[in-house]
This record gives sequence, structure tokens and C-alpha cells, in this order.
Amino acid sequence: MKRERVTFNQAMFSIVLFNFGSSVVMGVSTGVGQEAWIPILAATVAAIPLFLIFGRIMQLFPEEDIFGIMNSLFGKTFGKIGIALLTWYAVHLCALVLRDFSEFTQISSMPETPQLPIMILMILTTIYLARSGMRNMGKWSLVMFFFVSLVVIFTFLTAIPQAQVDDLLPIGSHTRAEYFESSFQIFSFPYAETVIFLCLAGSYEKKDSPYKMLFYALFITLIVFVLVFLRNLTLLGPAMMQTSYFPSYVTARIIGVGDFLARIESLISSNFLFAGIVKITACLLAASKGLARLFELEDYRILVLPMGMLAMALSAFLYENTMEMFAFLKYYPYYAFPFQVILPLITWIGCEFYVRKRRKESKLG
Amino acid sequence: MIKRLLICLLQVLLVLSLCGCWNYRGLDQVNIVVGIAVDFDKEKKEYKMSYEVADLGTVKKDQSIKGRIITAEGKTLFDAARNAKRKEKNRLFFGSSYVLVISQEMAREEGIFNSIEWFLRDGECRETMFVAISQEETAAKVLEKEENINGIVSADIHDIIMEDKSVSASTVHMPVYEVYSLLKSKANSLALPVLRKTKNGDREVTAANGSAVFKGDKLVGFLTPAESKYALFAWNKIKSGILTINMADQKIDDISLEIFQSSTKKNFRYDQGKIKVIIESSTDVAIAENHSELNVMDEQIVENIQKEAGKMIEENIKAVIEKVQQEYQADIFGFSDMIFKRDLKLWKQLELEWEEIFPDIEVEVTSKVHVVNSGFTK
Repeated sequence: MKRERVTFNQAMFSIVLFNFGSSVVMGVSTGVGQEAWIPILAATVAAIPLFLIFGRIMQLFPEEDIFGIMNSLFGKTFGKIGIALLTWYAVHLCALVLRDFSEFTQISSMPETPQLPIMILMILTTIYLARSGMRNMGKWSLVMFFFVSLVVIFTFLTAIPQAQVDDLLPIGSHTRAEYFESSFQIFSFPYAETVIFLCLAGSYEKKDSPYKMLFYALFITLIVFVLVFLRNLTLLGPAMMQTSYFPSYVTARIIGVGDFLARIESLISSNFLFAGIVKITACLLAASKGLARLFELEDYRILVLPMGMLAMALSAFLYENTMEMFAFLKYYPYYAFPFQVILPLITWIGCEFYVRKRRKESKLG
Repeated sequence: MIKRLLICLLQVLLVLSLCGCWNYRGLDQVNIVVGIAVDFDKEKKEYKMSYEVADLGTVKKDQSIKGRIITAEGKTLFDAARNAKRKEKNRLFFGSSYVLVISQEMAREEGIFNSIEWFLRDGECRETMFVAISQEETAAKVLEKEENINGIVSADIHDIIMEDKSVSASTVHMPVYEVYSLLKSKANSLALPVLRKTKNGDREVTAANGSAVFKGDKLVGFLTPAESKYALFAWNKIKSGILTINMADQKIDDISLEIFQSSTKKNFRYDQGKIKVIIESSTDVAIAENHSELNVMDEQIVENIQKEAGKMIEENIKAVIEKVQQEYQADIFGFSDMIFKRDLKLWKQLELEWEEIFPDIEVEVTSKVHVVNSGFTK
């Protein structure tokens, strides 16, 4: 199979959009209300070592994705267990995002439309995009990144006249446990979810530094998150921000510049749609690649459609209702931790040993 | 080639089926609600709702849209909204409602939270709709209008309240989401606009009449339009308005000052167990009327006008704050919120006894007035 090559920008912006995914709509609001910028910063700092690990793995094996690395490091049995676990995570994440999307659509704009048709449309689109390959996903991200960030900047600017800056105060009104929990939440959703891109690695240009790619992405995400948070908070106030499921959407409903520039919430919906497509596609690709590796198939593309269908079926019975979906967010960090941190960590340690051994051998030989 | 054509055809077909939403309803199939009035029937324990809808059916070429009232009862607000369908061909659509009017009696006894909750939760209603209190015996009465008058009352109310702060400065404007935020804030008090019927020429119309003071979500009293003006000063929400003062020792006020710009800063000091709130306002005005023909070219006279106006604003702001402090004990100016935001430690100390501390807080007001011009004449 011919390897597809993804350019630096395409790869970086797909990570950025992946991170935006659901967060740009759900808002990065947490349990700490007006102080959410603290956990946002803390989570970003916490993500740095993790991204260093990701980067190191990509650098040591620039031609391989994490599945291939696991296979060659841990032998057939253990490697396959690792691959199976990560594949499951990718499918599950795909289903979660799909469900986020359909719940949002139902609550915000189509209360009487069943969720299934919405999901079908969404999954068909992403299956198509996934089958067209990484490169096309990258191109999509490149274009859509500008749209999405323009919307964020535009809504931020239009929100300024209505903003109440003293809503940012007071600082320090929560307990340490609350800060920690919130930080952990933002760390695992969305930052650490970038582990999905380890599954897609191996097709980046060799000359590009994976560190640079990951940290640029992290930095851009951070800026957008802070903007989104500031916009939502200063417009809604902490109480309203914490009580809404989709603060960004509510914020956009409130923004009004004069009488003519109002009701711009569809911009936020389209943001969710455009970034969500990247997130679902990336998960689908990762899941299909994992499954292909598991069964030692040459081409992962034939698996995209069945994986998509699987994810859709899964998302349909994941939760009973929206409340459950948001309640699960609280436990998600603990559930996702092994996939997001422990598996890559083990792989990385394995990599280092492997590389040292090889170096020694080549010296001796 | 044929394959391509087929694909194109398929795409066109798909587009046809993908447009619009699942439950599309045309304009002729909905009743567009523009204003809502909530009354509570204590005996039946039912909400009595009146919806003003924009009646699109009767629009003729040279006539504006007319409003029409639909009434419905229900155990809850949503129940009532759906019950309205029993007498109407079309369903109610809430996406364009301007105003939610709540009856005085209900606001006093049941509180307003019940009425606003649905509007925040439901996806169709908008958070920017504002809440007002009716001073008539029912809320519904405010939305009524005389026969054969065109126009929509709710739209008029909307314009009256929205533009008030930049014209006459006599009432507040409070959208639903801000009501919620204030109820959840430390102050837990707020002010809402008040509506009543009044004569305008020989027509009976709905007019703004000051503001209503809430402690928690319960109505505790009213502020007159004049008091509301100085309350707006204290909130730093005033955009324009007229100040009148008496300079030449006549029996009536002889000078009108038009407010161009004003800003108010609030702060507090904590000294030996006592809190002192400091309010500083600075206002740019123009001399707009000058009955006694004072020489506005004379610096000393302008200086006096500025001093006099400043003193007047100071006294009135102080009076309105004292009134809500002592009569209503409602923290509508957000003193508690201010302390909570600026000095968390102090707030934690005071929080438990706040109810006792609040009425006795000393308020110091200093107002500066600056005359920027005197219109067309010297």
C-alpha cells in the first residue's frame, strides 16, 4: 500500500480541531465557575509531559504508528492486548463524540427529530472522510481551522460590549480538591485524547519535528479555550455558565450588536459540526487501523464502514438520556486514564529500552 | 460517464431531502408569541397565561401587523402553552417573544423563579427576553389594548424599556439570564421594570413606571421613576436622562441638564468592624433649559450649577440606597457581591451576619458634574 503523506500544517491543525471537538461548544466550563482559567492553565501544564512522551514515541519511530510499535516491542500476545485496548478506546471515544453531537442538535435546534437520522448523516460523512484518508482530513482541518477560529474571535469581539469583567472575581473561592478535579477533567478531555493521533502517526513528514507539531497545537488550543472561557463567563456570569449544558451556544444567543447582528448561535453549531467531524474521523481512522493491525489486514480502509456502524450502534445505547451523558463526564477522566496515559507511558519506556539495545548491538556489531 | 451522471443525480436528490429540519413548520402554521403575561389562580392552583401573538392573517397592504391575545390555563407554564392549542389552529412559537410580564400579586407571594425557569430551560425561548412586573390587578391587563388600534403592545413595551436608559432613565432592563444570575449571586436581590396602564391623550396605553425591588425572587416593594433614575446612577447603567435643579431661588426648578455620559464607581472600606460603601459618580451634562436666563458664559455660575447638580445627585442616590436598605432590606445594588468579589476573606467573615449588617451599612456618595455645553444659545 502506498503511504500517504501528511504535511506539518495539516497534521497540526487536525490535532487542534480534534481538541476543539466538543469542547468549543460544551465550553470549557468546570466546577469552579469564574475561576475555570486556573484549571485550563493547570491542565495545559500537565499536558506538557504527556505530549513530550507522545512526541518522543513519534520521533523514535517516525514510520510507525503506536499499534506497530506495540507489536514489535511487546511480542504478539501483549502487543495485541495493547492494540485491542487502544482500539476499543478509539471506538468508544468515537461513539461518545457522536452522541455529544446528536444530543446537542436535539436540544438546541431539532427537539422533535429523532437522534438516529442525525447520527446517520454525521457518521456517513465522517466515514467518507476517513476513507478518503488522513491527507484529506488534514486538508479539511486546515480550511476549517480558520473558519472555527474566526467564529471564536468574532463572537469574542462582539461580546465585548456586553461583557462584565468583574465576573472574573473572586479568585480562590474553591477548595483545592475542586481545582484538582477540574484540572484533571480538562486534562483528559480533551488534551490527553490526543493519544488518538499516536494511532495515526507514521504518515507525518520525516523532517518535521513531532514536538513542534504537538506543542504548537497545544498552544493554539490553549488560546482558543481561554478566549471561549472569557467570552462565556463575562457574558453569562458564573451561575448561568455552570447551569447550561452548552454555554457557548447560550452565549451566542445573547450576543447582539444592535438589532441586526443577533441570533448568531448557528455559527456555534457549525463550529461544533466542523470540529466534531475531525474528531470523529480521527477516532474512526484510529479504530480501523487498530483493528486492521489486530487481524493483520493490509488495508484498513475496508474496516472504516463497519467501524463507523459499530460506533453508531454503540453511541445509541451509551446513555439513557442527556443527564447521564453529562454525569459520565465526571467519571470519564478516571476511565480514560489508562488509555490516555498508562498505555503510552509503557510504550514509551519500551521504546527507550528497545532503542538503547539496538544502539548497543550496532556498536558491538 | 454514465456513472458520473448517476452520482450527480444522486447528489441532487440527496440535497432535496437534506434541506430544513424534520418538523418544518411554515409561518402560517405557527402563532408567533411576542409577549407573555403570567397570572396565578390561587384557588385552582393554576397558571393563567395570556400570550400576545403577532396576527399575520389579517395583514393588509397598508396596515401594520396587529397583536392578538390568546389565553390558556395550565398546571405549569409549559402545560398552559400546550393547552392553548385546544382553542387555536396553530401551535405557539416562543422564539421571538420580547417580554414576560408577571403579576404583582404572584411576584409577591409565589416568587418569580417559577415563571422564568421554563424560559431558560426550553430551547425555543430566548434568554434575552426581559421580565417585567405588572402594577395592574392582573398581568394580562398590561398586554391588552383598545380595539381597532394597530401595532403590537409587547413590541411597544420592548422599545419603551430598551430605550429607557438612553432617553428618560426611569426603569431598568433585565433579561431572563441576568435575572437568573442575580438570583444565584451573593446579593440574591434584583430590580425589575414595572408596567402599568395610563392615559396618553384619549387612549389607554401601557407605560413604564419605575422599578420593582426583589429580595430573593419575591417582590418587596417599588421604586418610583424618579428614584429609579438615581438607582440607575448607582448601578452605573445610566446612559442619558434629564436632571432638573433650582438655581435662581424660584419655586420651581429652572434648569434642565441633559446627561451625556456618566460613570459610577463603587468601592468599600472596612474599618473597625464597620463597612462603609463609597460611591463616586462623574457625569457629563449639557445645559438644556435655562428659565432664569443665567449667564452661562460666567464661569462662576457654571461652577455653581455643577456644584448644585452634584449635590442633588448625591442626596438622591443616598436616599434611594437608604430606602432599599431600610425599608426593603434588599441588596439590589450588589454590596455583598462586591465584597465577595473583591475581598473573599472579609466576605467569609461577614457572610453569616450579613442580614443584620446590611441595613446599617454607611454609604458615602460623591458626585461630580461637568457641564460640557449649553446647546445653541449662550
